[in-house]
Amino acid sequence: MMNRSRGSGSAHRGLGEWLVQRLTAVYLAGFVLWLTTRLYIAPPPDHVAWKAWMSGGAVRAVFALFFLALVLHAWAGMRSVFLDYLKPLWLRFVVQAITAIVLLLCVFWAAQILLIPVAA
Amino acid sequence: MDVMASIPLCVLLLSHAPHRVGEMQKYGPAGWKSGKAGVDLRKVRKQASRMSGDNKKRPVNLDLRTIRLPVGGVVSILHRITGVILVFSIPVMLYALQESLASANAFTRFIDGFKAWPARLGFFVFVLILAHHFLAGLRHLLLDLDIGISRRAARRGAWWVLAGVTAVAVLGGGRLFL
Repeated sequence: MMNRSRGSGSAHRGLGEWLVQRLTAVYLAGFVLWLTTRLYIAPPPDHVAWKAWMSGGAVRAVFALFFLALVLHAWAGMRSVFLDYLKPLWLRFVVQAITAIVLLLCVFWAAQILLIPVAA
Repeated sequence: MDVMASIPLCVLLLSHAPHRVGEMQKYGPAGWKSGKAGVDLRKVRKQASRMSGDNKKRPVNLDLRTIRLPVGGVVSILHRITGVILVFSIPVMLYALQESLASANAFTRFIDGFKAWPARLGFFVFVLILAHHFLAGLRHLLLDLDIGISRRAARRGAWWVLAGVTAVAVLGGGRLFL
């Protein structure tokens, strides 16, 4: 199998997605643990405190990376689900295209939310 | 030995011999001759590719009364289902973040919304789904690193995942509802 797939164009892409899924999983796990612990130890008492915390550059960078990792992870996972259950090629193509567009919109939305504290 | 007693034995041998020869011609001698002597991988692969043509005729048991998904399979399929649900919750998460940051009023509305118990129940289910996806994902990552890869260890890991989700349910449920 390995001999056959070597040198056949985009065959390495599956490995790349596999790796992205694992790496993003590690980041997402760390993020969830960090956010849960942080909010448990010191829950922001009011809107001012919450917004002040969310305005910090480091916090926003961590959140931005989180949403990017989340969307990449979601894409890799949904793709393997579609590959397993959606057999007609046209259907898989359409559903994957819609998923990609929605996930991209989520990235833009997240960017907008995270950039508002800067603008305000 | 009695001559008469050897007749059924001969019949038995003869009735099996053509089958064996046919099998040998079909799959090659490796299938039943190799025994414990070293396995020639090339031969095995060749044999497998030859046999795959016949594989469609193999007996298939999908009787749900006699088969059961092992615990690792249950955890695995739940990991997939929770993953799909979590993807659908991404826009909800973004909306929640946006609303909580929008204004003091929206923040209060957001916090007050959590005091109503339908929202609490929804959040509780979300936490359980996330907990399962988190723990089962951790198990998959460890399996990728060849940790807990044996059948026994993998099954024990799957039970630990379910135990962890139960613990989260008890602790989180206690905090959310009591």
